[in-house]
Amino acid sequence: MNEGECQVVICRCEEVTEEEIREAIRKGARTFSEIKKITRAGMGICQGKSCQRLVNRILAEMTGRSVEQLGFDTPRPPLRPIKLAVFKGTD
Amino acid sequence: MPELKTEVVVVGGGLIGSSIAYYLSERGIDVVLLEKSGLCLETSGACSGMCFIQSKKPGPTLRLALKGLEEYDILRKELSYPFEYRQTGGMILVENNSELELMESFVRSQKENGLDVKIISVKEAREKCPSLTENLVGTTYSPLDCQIDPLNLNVGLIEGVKKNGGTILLGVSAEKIGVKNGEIKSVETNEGTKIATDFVVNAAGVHAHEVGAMVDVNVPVMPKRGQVIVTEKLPELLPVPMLDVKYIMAKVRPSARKEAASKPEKLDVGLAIEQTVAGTILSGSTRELVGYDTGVTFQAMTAIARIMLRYLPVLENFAMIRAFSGLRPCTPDGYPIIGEASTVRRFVVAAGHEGDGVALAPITGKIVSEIVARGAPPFPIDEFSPKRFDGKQLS
Amino acid sequence: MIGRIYDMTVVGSGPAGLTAAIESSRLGCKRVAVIDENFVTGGQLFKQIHKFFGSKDHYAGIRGFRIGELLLKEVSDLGVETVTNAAIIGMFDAQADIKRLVTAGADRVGEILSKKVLVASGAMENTVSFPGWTLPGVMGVGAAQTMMNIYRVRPGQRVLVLGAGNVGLIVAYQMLQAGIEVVGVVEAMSRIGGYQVHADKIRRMGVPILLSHTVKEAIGKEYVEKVVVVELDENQKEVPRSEKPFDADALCLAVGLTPNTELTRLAGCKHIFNRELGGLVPLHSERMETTIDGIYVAGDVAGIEEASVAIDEGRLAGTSVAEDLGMISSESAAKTSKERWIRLCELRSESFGEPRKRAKISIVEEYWKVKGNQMGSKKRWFTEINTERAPSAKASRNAPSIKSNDNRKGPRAIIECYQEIPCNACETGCNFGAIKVGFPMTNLPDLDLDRCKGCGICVAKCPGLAIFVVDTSYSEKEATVSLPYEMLPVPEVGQEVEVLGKLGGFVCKGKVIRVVHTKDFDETRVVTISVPKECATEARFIRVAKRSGK
Repeated sequence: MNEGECQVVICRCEEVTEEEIREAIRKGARTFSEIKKITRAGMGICQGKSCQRLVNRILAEMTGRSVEQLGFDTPRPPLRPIKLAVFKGTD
Repeated sequence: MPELKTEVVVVGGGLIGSSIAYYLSERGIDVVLLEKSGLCLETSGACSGMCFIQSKKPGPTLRLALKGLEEYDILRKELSYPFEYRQTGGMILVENNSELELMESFVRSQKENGLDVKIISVKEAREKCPSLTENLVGTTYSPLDCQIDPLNLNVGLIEGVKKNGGTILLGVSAEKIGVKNGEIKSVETNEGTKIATDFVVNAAGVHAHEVGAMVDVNVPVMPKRGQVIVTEKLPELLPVPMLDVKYIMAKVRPSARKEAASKPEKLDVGLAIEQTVAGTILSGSTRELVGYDTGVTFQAMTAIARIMLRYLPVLENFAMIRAFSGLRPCTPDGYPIIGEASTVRRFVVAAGHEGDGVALAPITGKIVSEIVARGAPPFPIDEFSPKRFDGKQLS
Repeated sequence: MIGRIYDMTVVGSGPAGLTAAIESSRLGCKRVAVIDENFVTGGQLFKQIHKFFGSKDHYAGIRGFRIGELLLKEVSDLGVETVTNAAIIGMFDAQADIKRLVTAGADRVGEILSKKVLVASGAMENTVSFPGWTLPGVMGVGAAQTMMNIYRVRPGQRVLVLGAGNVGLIVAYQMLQAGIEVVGVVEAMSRIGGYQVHADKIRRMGVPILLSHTVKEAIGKEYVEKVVVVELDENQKEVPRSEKPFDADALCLAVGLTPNTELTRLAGCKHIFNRELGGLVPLHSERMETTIDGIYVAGDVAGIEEASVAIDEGRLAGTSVAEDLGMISSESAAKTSKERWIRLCELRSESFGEPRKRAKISIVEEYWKVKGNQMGSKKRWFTEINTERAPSAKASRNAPSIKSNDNRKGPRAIIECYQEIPCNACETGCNFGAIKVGFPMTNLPDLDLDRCKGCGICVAKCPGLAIFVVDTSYSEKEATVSLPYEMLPVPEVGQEVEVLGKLGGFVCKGKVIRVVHTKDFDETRVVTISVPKECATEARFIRVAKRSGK
């Protein structure tokens, strides 16, 4: 794995590179949720739909676990972005 | 059984625990930090970054928060890990005259305790924040309120501990605490490791009660849920973080707290809104007694969205992308518990900061490090002493 | 919508969701709604322009989008409410008897109260990261398919496809139909993951399939200009200095799908990680009910399979909902559900399907472990099913069809379908009963030469375009080959064409002597060419020169 590869963007929404993710794992992050808190990967508008698998691959490699042992981030509502305006109106 | 030896075991790796561990390690004291989950996965990973001094109950807590501000100033220069510290000032929004009366009296008490705060007109408020609605009778303003990134602070403190030679054990919890002759001797972890130690610091947040029980010390901390919504990244619309009067009253008024305790299904929504450096807006919040449930309700999402739009109508065209909830560690009287236990020497409690954890983390770290290093806090903290709960078990 | 309580709400209007809505309505459920976040219904169906595999019951031989039209008509005829532009943003009170779904449209948020919820939310494309993967022009192959088949926009002019599973191979073929140059299909494994017939379709058009290769880098300033492909050794490590650059302006990733389980996870259904099925999948009973009573799943969300499976699972779930709402008796439900499971096992047989069959059975078993083996009577019919390899006509195994140097006079079919895949469109399509597949439908087709008239209908009916008709007795020096053709321009009788072999190489020159198309053939033309006799075994495709002025 070389310099060029580490500059590869993993979380496109927040532009988090592979190197930043590896750094977070070196700091002790062992789950996607922790990596998210440290790097913002997965906090963007797609909420990890694109990057969670990619992050898990790196996690699996660096921590010697299989992808199934890693678990997945808890989905939270809203499952899609919603404009705040839709909440206006009558009870 | 594997063995370790240290001077202090800190139980809990959130903002409070990691701050304490950091301050201890800065003084060259050997420390082992036990965090049962992971980095930023519990309360400290589910809060906003508002460091409001204005929201502290006038009295001991407010005075502590003011000292805490000084401590932040030192910390941000010394901690080599940046945590987006900004002293933006803060506002509490006042919607009508009866709220104004409440706040005038509140501001008076705050001033008596040394806080630089005043009530300003809607016009002045909108000069500071043009997106604010006109439908207010005024706001408070204090130039001292700050914002930070609590996640980066937590990680930064832990990195600081490691740099100073301290030990961080993630995914490890305390199972047993060994006491002999009324004083701390050891901690046994869930992995079967026995740690010989002089001190144990209970910084276990919403689980502080369980840790206290290991040494028969009553630490009555209960979880109180707060739900938060997150928007997409926005242009700068909120230069100043804000609360509203409902938020303050729900927090500090004893009658409001009593009422809330009797109606756990009540959401008790108040405004607590900030914009992060990344551009997202975090807005809450509710106060619910639902045990350890960190779910999100549609009711709360709706209530929070509506409050946001009432005060900042311009936000209606932007999208909510996530909602989450955090559990505030609360005590029956609303004051944190900081100090050495009366029945077990060298068992120090530092928990129950409710919604004040961000503002009080560095100063708590300093206080506890002094208790450990010099046997006494740097200034009197009797109001926060764990002794006040001796003999009053949580029902 | 607020205030009414629905009998059943279906999340997702793809084949699983639609068939479930149809089934439950047919069986008596009165208030059924299908919700979709897109502005059109049909899920993946409307971008599938190829003919589906399977049996008649699975609409085999019919193009995906037409199946969509059929299902939507049935849905409408049955009075099922369809709502589009409504994303489900959350499910609340999932454990309660009446579930609460919250939808958000462009300008409103709404609540749906429903006794039963079927989650048929399908799947999402996977990505792989490598230097340059974020350049414009790098996209999922499904995205490229939507772009081409729905929006009529080419994703690029020279495209490389990464991944030789069915999706990658099918879309590569569709790109060729759209006039795109497919410079290659690259596959990391040492064998093709998809069906051989899909691979053959593009190989005979000259598209190279590079096995044991992967993409190392996408290069370009503002968009993809070049893709660097590299060889892999038996340990999947890059072979040094084996880089091959391809000029391309688009790179389509066909690297698998992941079930869209956010809603089922949010609701609190138990999930399990299963590699065969694409990752995290919800546990479900043999009746398609999840660990939360009243929430069901069907289709790709319950495991990445095929449309035929989605259709059968949808029907299964629809029957279960009808039963649980008291519309039909348990006995009647058990009867049809048992038959459907047997058919699902049939679809999941042999080398392609067997791992998925075992995976699905383990999902059901895990469900019952979690549920503590309650409801014993409802479980019984499942334990009665013999899920081992179903009895089959052994004689038909490993019996490829006639050699083309058969001495019989007249045209005869050659069926170049040598894998056990779940499809019997040829058997259904032959008017003379000359092709036998039998049970299970994964059996290789068996051609009865005495019955075969060489009419060529099967050439158009095979969804895999794997059947040819050869007449070696056409003339002294020439033979004819009839082949399936789905490209433009349409060849004209009398035209001279270049004849290509199985790997797209030039074989000989030929002449178009007949072009047959009927409404029933649905755009698969049967083109008969004359070629030198010795070329008949090789001749499998034609290159039609574009006529000037057109």
